[in-house]
Amino acid sequence: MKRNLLCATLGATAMAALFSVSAAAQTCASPASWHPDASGTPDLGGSTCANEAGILSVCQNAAGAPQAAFVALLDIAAQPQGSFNTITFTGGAGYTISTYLVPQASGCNNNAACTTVGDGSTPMAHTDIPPGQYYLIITGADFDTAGACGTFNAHADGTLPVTLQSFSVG
Amino acid sequence: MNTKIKVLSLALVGLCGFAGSAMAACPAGPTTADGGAWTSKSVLPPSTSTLAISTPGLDATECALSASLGPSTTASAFVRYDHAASEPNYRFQFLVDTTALSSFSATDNVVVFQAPSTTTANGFNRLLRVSLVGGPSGSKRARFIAQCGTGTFTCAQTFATDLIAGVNRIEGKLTVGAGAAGSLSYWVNAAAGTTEPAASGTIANLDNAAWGGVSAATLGLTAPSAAFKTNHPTQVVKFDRFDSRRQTYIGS
Repeated sequence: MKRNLLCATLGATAMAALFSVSAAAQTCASPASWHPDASGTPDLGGSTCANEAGILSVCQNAAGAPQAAFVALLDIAAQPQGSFNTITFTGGAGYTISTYLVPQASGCNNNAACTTVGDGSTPMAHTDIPPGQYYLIITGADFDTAGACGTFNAHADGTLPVTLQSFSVG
Repeated sequence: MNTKIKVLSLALVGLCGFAGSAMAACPAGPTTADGGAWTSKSVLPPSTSTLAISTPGLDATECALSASLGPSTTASAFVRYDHAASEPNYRFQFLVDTTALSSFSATDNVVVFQAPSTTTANGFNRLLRVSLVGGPSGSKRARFIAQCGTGTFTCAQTFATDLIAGVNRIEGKLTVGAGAAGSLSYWVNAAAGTTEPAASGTIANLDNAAWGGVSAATLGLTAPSAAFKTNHPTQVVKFDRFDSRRQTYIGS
Protein backbone atom coordinates (compact mmCIF):
# COMPACT_ATOMS: atom_id res chain seq x y z
CA MET A 1 0.00 0.00 0.00
CA LYS A 2 2.76 2.37 1.01
CA ARG A 3 4.75 1.38 -2.07
CA ASN A 4 1.74 2.09 -4.28
CA LEU A 5 1.31 5.48 -2.63
CA LEU A 6 4.99 6.23 -3.12
CA CYS A 7 4.79 5.25 -6.80
CA ALA A 8 1.70 7.37 -7.28
CA THR A 9 3.36 10.34 -5.63
CA LEU A 10 6.51 9.93 -7.72
CA GLY A 11 4.44 9.54 -10.86
CA ALA A 12 2.44 12.66 -10.15
CA THR A 13 5.62 14.58 -9.45
CA ALA A 14 7.17 13.37 -12.68
CA MET A 15 4.07 14.29 -14.70
CA ALA A 16 3.93 17.69 -13.07
CA ALA A 17 7.54 18.25 -14.05
CA LEU A 18 6.87 17.03 -17.55
CA PHE A 19 3.98 19.40 -18.23
CA SER A 20 5.04 22.48 -16.44
CA VAL A 21 6.48 25.94 -16.56
CA SER A 22 10.01 26.48 -15.37
CA ALA A 23 10.11 29.63 -13.30
CA ALA A 24 13.75 29.62 -12.35
CA ALA A 25 15.32 31.23 -15.38
CA GLN A 26 13.98 33.62 -17.96
CA THR A 27 16.94 35.08 -19.85
CA CYS A 28 18.76 34.27 -23.07
CA ALA A 29 21.53 32.63 -21.08
CA SER A 30 19.13 30.64 -18.96
CA PRO A 31 15.70 30.50 -20.55
CA ALA A 32 12.55 29.16 -18.99
CA SER A 33 10.94 26.00 -20.32
CA TRP A 34 7.27 25.47 -21.09
CA HIS A 35 5.60 22.15 -21.68
CA PRO A 36 1.80 22.39 -21.55
CA ASP A 37 -0.16 19.16 -21.78
CA ALA A 38 -2.71 18.19 -24.38
CA SER A 39 -5.25 20.56 -22.87
CA GLY A 40 -2.78 23.43 -23.04
CA THR A 41 -2.22 23.44 -19.28
CA PRO A 42 -0.43 25.26 -17.80
CA ASP A 43 -0.28 28.66 -19.45
CA LEU A 44 3.04 30.43 -19.50
CA GLY A 45 2.69 33.47 -17.31
CA GLY A 46 5.13 35.95 -15.89
CA SER A 47 6.64 39.34 -16.44
CA THR A 48 9.06 40.85 -18.92
CA CYS A 49 10.39 43.00 -16.07
CA ALA A 50 13.55 42.03 -14.20
CA ASN A 51 14.50 39.19 -16.50
CA GLU A 52 16.40 39.50 -19.80
CA ALA A 53 17.48 43.12 -20.24
CA GLY A 54 19.38 43.10 -23.53
CA ILE A 55 16.80 42.77 -26.30
CA LEU A 56 17.17 45.95 -28.37
CA SER A 57 16.01 44.48 -31.64
CA VAL A 58 14.77 41.15 -32.91
CA CYS A 59 14.71 39.27 -36.21
CA GLN A 60 16.61 39.97 -39.39
CA ASN A 61 14.65 43.16 -39.97
CA ALA A 62 15.74 44.30 -36.53
CA ALA A 63 12.29 44.93 -35.14
CA GLY A 64 12.79 47.33 -32.27
CA ALA A 65 12.32 46.18 -28.67
CA PRO A 66 12.57 47.96 -25.31
CA GLN A 67 15.33 45.70 -23.89
CA ALA A 68 13.22 44.07 -21.17
CA ALA A 69 12.13 40.55 -22.12
CA PHE A 70 11.17 37.12 -20.87
CA VAL A 71 12.84 34.25 -22.72
CA ALA A 72 11.69 30.63 -22.88
CA LEU A 73 13.06 27.68 -24.80
CA LEU A 74 10.37 25.70 -26.62
CA ASP A 75 10.37 22.28 -28.24
CA ILE A 76 8.12 22.32 -31.28
CA ALA A 77 7.20 18.86 -32.54
CA ALA A 78 5.68 17.92 -35.85
CA GLN A 79 1.97 17.25 -35.88
CA PRO A 80 0.26 15.27 -34.49
CA GLN A 81 2.60 15.07 -31.47
CA GLY A 82 2.94 18.83 -31.33
CA SER A 83 -0.78 19.15 -31.41
CA PHE A 84 -1.26 22.81 -30.53
CA ASN A 85 -2.62 24.93 -33.33
CA THR A 86 -2.02 28.39 -31.95
CA ILE A 87 -0.35 30.19 -29.09
CA THR A 88 -2.19 33.35 -28.04
CA PHE A 89 -0.68 36.18 -26.03
CA THR A 90 -2.07 38.68 -23.55
CA GLY A 91 0.02 41.55 -22.24
CA GLY A 92 -0.54 43.62 -19.11
CA ALA A 93 -0.20 47.34 -18.59
CA GLY A 94 3.02 49.27 -19.14
CA TYR A 95 4.06 47.92 -22.51
CA THR A 96 2.74 46.42 -25.76
CA ILE A 97 3.33 42.70 -25.89
CA SER A 98 5.34 41.50 -28.90
CA THR A 99 6.66 37.96 -29.23
CA TYR A 100 9.29 36.43 -31.49
CA LEU A 101 10.25 32.82 -32.17
CA VAL A 102 13.90 32.37 -33.15
CA PRO A 103 15.62 29.04 -33.92
CA GLN A 104 17.86 28.11 -31.01
CA ALA A 105 20.73 27.48 -33.40
CA SER A 106 20.58 31.11 -34.52
CA GLY A 107 21.12 32.45 -31.02
CA CYS A 108 18.78 34.34 -28.78
CA ASN A 109 19.89 37.90 -29.40
CA ASN A 110 21.62 37.95 -32.78
CA ASN A 111 18.99 39.57 -35.00
CA ALA A 112 18.70 36.22 -36.75
CA ALA A 113 15.73 35.52 -38.96
CA CYS A 114 12.60 34.89 -36.94
CA THR A 115 10.50 31.84 -37.70
CA THR A 116 7.31 33.58 -36.67
CA VAL A 117 5.98 36.38 -34.50
CA GLY A 118 2.94 37.11 -32.38
CA ASP A 119 1.39 39.93 -30.39
CA GLY A 120 -1.75 40.84 -28.51
CA SER A 121 -3.92 40.46 -31.60
CA THR A 122 -1.86 38.00 -33.63
CA PRO A 123 -1.40 34.41 -32.39
CA MET A 124 1.53 32.23 -33.40
CA ALA A 125 0.38 29.42 -35.68
CA HIS A 126 1.87 25.92 -35.60
CA THR A 127 1.68 25.85 -39.38
CA ASP A 128 4.36 28.55 -39.48
CA ILE A 129 6.78 26.62 -37.27
CA PRO A 130 8.86 23.64 -38.44
CA PRO A 131 9.80 21.12 -35.74
CA GLY A 132 12.79 22.15 -33.65
CA GLN A 133 13.94 24.08 -30.63
CA TYR A 134 13.25 27.78 -30.44
CA TYR A 135 13.75 30.77 -28.22
CA LEU A 136 10.41 32.41 -27.46
CA ILE A 137 11.25 36.06 -26.79
CA ILE A 138 8.42 37.94 -25.10
CA THR A 139 9.09 41.67 -25.08
CA GLY A 140 7.56 45.04 -25.93
CA ALA A 141 6.90 46.85 -29.20
CA ASP A 142 9.18 49.01 -31.29
CA PHE A 143 7.27 52.09 -30.19
CA ASP A 144 7.44 51.35 -26.46
CA THR A 145 9.84 53.43 -24.41
CA ALA A 146 13.17 51.94 -23.39
CA GLY A 147 12.76 49.61 -20.46
CA ALA A 148 8.97 49.30 -20.83
CA CYS A 149 7.79 46.01 -19.41
CA GLY A 150 4.88 44.26 -17.78
CA THR A 151 3.06 41.02 -17.14
CA PHE A 152 2.04 38.54 -19.79
CA ASN A 153 0.19 35.31 -20.37
CA ALA A 154 0.73 32.83 -23.19
CA HIS A 155 -1.82 30.11 -23.90
CA ALA A 156 -1.34 27.13 -26.20
CA ASP A 157 -4.44 25.27 -27.35
CA GLY A 158 -2.58 21.96 -27.15
CA THR A 159 0.66 20.40 -26.03
CA LEU A 160 4.25 21.45 -26.47
CA PRO A 161 5.85 18.15 -25.57
CA VAL A 162 9.16 17.46 -23.93
CA THR A 163 11.72 16.41 -26.52
CA LEU A 164 13.57 13.21 -25.67
CA GLN A 165 17.20 14.24 -25.83
CA SER A 166 18.78 10.80 -25.28
CA PHE A 167 17.69 7.33 -24.47
CA SER A 168 19.59 4.21 -23.52
CA VAL A 169 18.76 0.75 -22.24
CA GLY A 170 21.23 -0.50 -19.64
CA MET B 1 28.34 67.64 -59.08
CA ASN B 2 24.68 66.94 -59.34
CA THR B 3 24.42 63.57 -60.95
CA LYS B 4 21.14 61.79 -61.21
CA ILE B 5 21.55 58.07 -61.06
CA LYS B 6 18.07 57.19 -62.20
CA VAL B 7 14.59 58.58 -62.20
CA LEU B 8 12.20 55.71 -62.62
CA SER B 9 8.77 56.85 -63.53
CA LEU B 10 5.99 54.39 -63.73
CA ALA B 11 4.70 56.11 -66.82
CA LEU B 12 6.05 55.17 -70.20
CA VAL B 13 9.60 56.48 -70.18
CA GLY B 14 10.65 58.16 -73.40
CA LEU B 15 7.22 59.10 -74.55
CA CYS B 16 6.37 62.30 -72.77
CA GLY B 17 8.18 62.22 -69.48
CA PHE B 18 5.87 61.44 -66.65
CA ALA B 19 4.75 63.81 -63.94
CA GLY B 20 1.47 65.35 -64.83
CA SER B 21 1.90 65.04 -68.56
CA ALA B 22 -1.44 64.81 -70.26
CA MET B 23 0.14 62.68 -72.93
CA ALA B 24 1.82 60.31 -70.54
CA ALA B 25 0.78 56.71 -70.81
CA CYS B 26 1.15 53.75 -68.55
CA PRO B 27 3.17 50.77 -69.68
CA ALA B 28 1.71 47.29 -69.60
CA GLY B 29 4.05 46.41 -66.75
CA PRO B 30 6.89 47.93 -64.73
CA THR B 31 9.87 46.26 -66.44
CA THR B 32 11.61 47.27 -69.65
CA ALA B 33 10.19 44.16 -71.28
CA ASP B 34 6.72 45.53 -70.64
CA GLY B 35 7.58 49.08 -71.63
CA GLY B 36 8.46 50.22 -68.12
CA ALA B 37 11.78 51.39 -66.69
CA TRP B 38 12.75 48.72 -64.19
CA THR B 39 15.25 45.94 -64.87
CA SER B 40 13.25 43.07 -63.41
CA LYS B 41 10.44 42.12 -61.07
CA SER B 42 9.70 39.41 -58.52
CA VAL B 43 6.19 38.18 -57.76
CA LEU B 44 6.06 35.22 -55.38
CA PRO B 45 3.91 33.23 -55.19
CA PRO B 46 2.49 34.38 -58.53
CA SER B 47 -0.88 32.84 -57.71
CA THR B 48 -1.60 35.12 -54.73
CA SER B 49 0.83 38.06 -54.80
CA THR B 50 0.35 40.87 -57.31
CA LEU B 51 2.44 43.60 -58.91
CA ALA B 52 0.76 45.83 -61.43
CA ILE B 53 0.65 49.29 -62.92
CA SER B 54 -2.41 51.18 -61.76
CA THR B 55 -3.93 54.59 -62.40
CA PRO B 56 -3.83 57.31 -61.32
CA GLY B 57 -0.38 57.94 -59.87
CA LEU B 58 0.29 59.32 -56.40
CA ASP B 59 1.47 62.84 -57.23
CA ALA B 60 -0.71 64.04 -60.09
CA THR B 61 1.16 61.47 -62.10
CA GLU B 62 -0.38 59.10 -64.55
CA CYS B 63 0.58 55.74 -63.08
CA ALA B 64 1.51 54.03 -59.84
CA LEU B 65 2.93 50.67 -58.92
CA SER B 66 0.50 48.55 -56.91
CA ALA B 67 1.83 45.64 -54.88
CA SER B 68 0.18 43.10 -52.61
CA LEU B 69 1.34 39.90 -50.97
CA GLY B 70 -0.31 36.52 -50.67
CA PRO B 71 -0.52 34.77 -47.29
CA SER B 72 3.08 33.59 -47.07
CA THR B 73 6.15 34.82 -45.22
CA THR B 74 8.17 34.12 -48.37
CA ALA B 75 5.87 36.21 -50.56
CA SER B 76 7.27 39.15 -52.49
CA ALA B 77 6.09 41.67 -55.07
CA PHE B 78 8.76 44.17 -56.05
CA VAL B 79 10.64 45.72 -58.94
CA ARG B 80 14.43 45.99 -59.19
CA TYR B 81 16.69 48.38 -61.05
CA ASP B 82 20.33 47.36 -61.49
CA HIS B 83 22.57 50.41 -61.41
CA ALA B 84 25.41 50.58 -63.91
CA ALA B 85 28.04 51.25 -61.25
CA SER B 86 28.67 50.74 -57.57
CA GLU B 87 27.36 53.83 -55.80
CA PRO B 88 29.06 54.81 -52.50
CA ASN B 89 27.04 58.04 -52.27
CA TYR B 90 23.40 57.23 -52.74
CA ARG B 91 20.32 59.37 -52.36
CA PHE B 92 16.89 57.94 -53.00
CA GLN B 93 13.27 58.97 -52.72
CA PHE B 94 9.93 57.32 -53.29
CA LEU B 95 6.26 57.88 -52.59
CA VAL B 96 4.27 55.22 -50.76
CA ASP B 97 0.54 55.09 -50.04
CA THR B 98 -0.51 52.67 -47.30
CA THR B 99 -4.18 53.67 -47.23
CA ALA B 100 -5.40 50.18 -48.15
CA LEU B 101 -3.44 48.50 -45.35
CA SER B 102 -5.57 47.85 -42.30
CA SER B 103 -4.33 48.84 -38.84
CA PHE B 104 -0.92 47.49 -37.91
CA SER B 105 -0.29 45.26 -34.93
CA ALA B 106 2.90 45.47 -32.87
CA THR B 107 4.73 42.86 -34.96
CA ASP B 108 3.53 43.83 -38.43
CA ASN B 109 6.58 44.43 -40.56
CA VAL B 110 7.20 44.47 -44.32
CA VAL B 111 10.12 45.75 -46.37
CA VAL B 112 9.26 48.37 -49.01
CA PHE B 113 12.71 49.46 -50.24
CA GLN B 114 16.10 47.81 -50.40
CA ALA B 115 19.55 48.90 -51.57
CA PRO B 116 21.46 45.72 -52.50
CA SER B 117 25.23 46.01 -52.20
CA THR B 118 28.01 45.24 -54.67
CA THR B 119 29.77 43.07 -52.08
CA THR B 120 28.35 40.58 -49.62
CA ALA B 121 29.82 41.12 -46.18
CA ASN B 122 29.06 39.65 -42.76
CA GLY B 123 26.26 37.57 -44.23
CA PHE B 124 24.36 40.48 -45.79
CA ASN B 125 24.14 41.35 -49.50
CA ARG B 126 22.49 44.69 -48.95
CA LEU B 127 23.28 48.06 -47.41
CA LEU B 128 19.84 49.27 -46.45
CA ARG B 129 16.23 48.28 -45.96
CA VAL B 130 13.24 50.50 -45.31
CA SER B 131 10.33 48.74 -43.61
CA LEU B 132 6.79 49.59 -42.61
CA VAL B 133 6.33 48.76 -38.92
CA GLY B 134 3.60 49.20 -36.36
CA GLY B 135 3.18 52.35 -34.30
CA PRO B 136 0.81 53.04 -31.39
CA SER B 137 -2.92 52.40 -31.83
CA GLY B 138 -2.60 50.60 -35.13
CA SER B 139 -0.63 53.32 -36.90
CA LYS B 140 2.25 52.71 -39.30
CA ARG B 141 5.80 53.99 -39.17
CA ALA B 142 8.95 53.79 -41.30
CA ARG B 143 11.98 51.90 -40.00
CA PHE B 144 15.45 52.23 -41.51
CA ILE B 145 17.73 49.21 -41.21
CA ALA B 146 21.31 49.87 -42.32
CA GLN B 147 24.13 47.37 -42.32
CA CYS B 148 26.97 48.39 -40.06
CA GLY B 149 30.36 47.08 -39.08
CA THR B 150 29.78 46.10 -35.46
CA GLY B 151 27.67 43.81 -33.32
CA THR B 152 25.01 42.00 -35.34
CA PHE B 153 25.97 44.16 -38.36
CA THR B 154 22.53 45.74 -38.29
CA CYS B 155 21.88 49.29 -37.11
CA ALA B 156 18.24 50.35 -37.18
CA GLN B 157 16.11 53.30 -36.28
CA THR B 158 12.36 53.96 -36.50
CA PHE B 159 11.14 57.46 -37.26
CA ALA B 160 8.98 58.10 -34.20
CA THR B 161 6.20 59.91 -36.04
CA ASP B 162 3.34 57.98 -37.61
CA LEU B 163 3.00 57.88 -41.37
CA ILE B 164 0.15 60.02 -42.59
CA ALA B 165 -3.02 58.69 -44.16
CA GLY B 166 -2.50 58.86 -47.90
CA VAL B 167 0.77 59.49 -49.71
CA ASN B 168 4.05 59.59 -47.78
CA ARG B 169 7.37 60.82 -49.17
CA ILE B 170 10.45 58.97 -47.93
CA GLU B 171 13.96 60.10 -48.82
CA GLY B 172 17.37 58.88 -47.75
CA LYS B 173 21.05 59.68 -48.10
CA LEU B 174 23.31 56.68 -47.65
CA THR B 175 27.06 57.17 -47.55
CA VAL B 176 29.32 54.13 -47.70
CA GLY B 177 32.64 54.42 -45.93
CA ALA B 178 34.89 53.21 -43.14
CA GLY B 179 34.14 54.22 -39.56
CA ALA B 180 32.36 57.52 -39.22
CA ALA B 181 32.47 58.07 -42.99
CA GLY B 182 29.55 55.68 -43.31
CA SER B 183 26.18 57.15 -42.41
CA LEU B 184 22.48 57.31 -43.19
CA SER B 185 20.23 60.34 -43.04
CA TYR B 186 16.55 60.10 -43.79
CA TRP B 187 13.57 62.34 -44.28
CA VAL B 188 9.95 61.28 -43.81
CA ASN B 189 7.35 63.69 -45.18
CA ALA B 190 9.74 66.62 -45.12
CA ALA B 191 8.37 70.06 -45.93
CA ALA B 192 7.98 70.78 -49.63
CA GLY B 193 10.99 72.31 -51.35
CA THR B 194 14.32 71.33 -52.81
CA THR B 195 16.57 72.89 -50.17
CA GLU B 196 17.80 70.17 -47.84
CA PRO B 197 16.15 70.54 -44.42
CA ALA B 198 17.32 69.01 -41.16
CA ALA B 199 17.04 65.24 -41.40
CA SER B 200 14.19 63.39 -39.73
CA GLY B 201 16.87 61.07 -38.37
CA THR B 202 20.47 59.94 -38.77
CA ILE B 203 22.36 56.75 -38.07
CA ALA B 204 26.03 57.68 -37.72
CA ASN B 205 29.26 55.68 -37.73
CA LEU B 206 27.97 52.85 -39.90
CA ASP B 207 31.47 51.65 -40.83
CA ASN B 208 29.91 50.05 -43.92
CA ALA B 209 32.81 50.16 -46.40
CA ALA B 210 32.91 46.35 -46.54
CA TRP B 211 29.73 46.35 -48.62
CA GLY B 212 31.33 48.43 -51.40
CA GLY B 213 28.42 50.47 -52.66
CA VAL B 214 24.81 50.34 -53.78
CA SER B 215 24.39 48.10 -56.80
CA ALA B 216 20.61 48.19 -57.25
CA ALA B 217 17.32 49.45 -55.89
CA THR B 218 14.22 47.41 -55.16
CA LEU B 219 10.78 48.90 -54.53
CA GLY B 220 7.64 47.03 -53.52
CA LEU B 221 6.80 44.51 -50.81
CA THR B 222 9.03 41.73 -49.50
CA ALA B 223 10.10 39.95 -46.31
CA PRO B 224 6.75 40.20 -44.49
CA SER B 225 6.59 39.17 -40.86
CA ALA B 226 4.19 36.38 -39.96
CA ALA B 227 1.88 39.04 -38.54
CA PHE B 228 1.83 40.97 -41.82
CA LYS B 229 1.25 37.72 -43.68
CA THR B 230 -1.71 36.92 -41.46
CA ASN B 231 -3.21 40.38 -41.12
CA HIS B 232 -2.79 41.93 -44.58
CA PRO B 233 -3.06 39.35 -47.35
CA THR B 234 -3.91 40.90 -50.73
CA GLN B 235 -4.00 44.44 -49.30
CA VAL B 236 -2.46 46.85 -51.81
CA VAL B 237 0.39 49.28 -51.20
CA LYS B 238 1.03 51.87 -53.92
CA PHE B 239 4.37 53.36 -54.95
CA ASP B 240 5.39 56.15 -57.29
CA ARG B 241 8.12 58.62 -58.31
CA PHE B 242 11.29 56.75 -57.44
CA ASP B 243 14.36 58.94 -57.81
CA SER B 244 18.01 58.28 -57.02
CA ARG B 245 20.97 60.65 -57.13
CA ARG B 246 24.58 60.85 -55.99
CA GLN B 247 24.84 64.30 -54.49
CA THR B 248 21.91 66.64 -54.01
CA TYR B 249 18.78 66.53 -51.91
CA ILE B 250 15.76 65.50 -53.96
CA GLY B 251 12.82 67.04 -52.07
CA SER B 252 9.66 68.01 -53.89
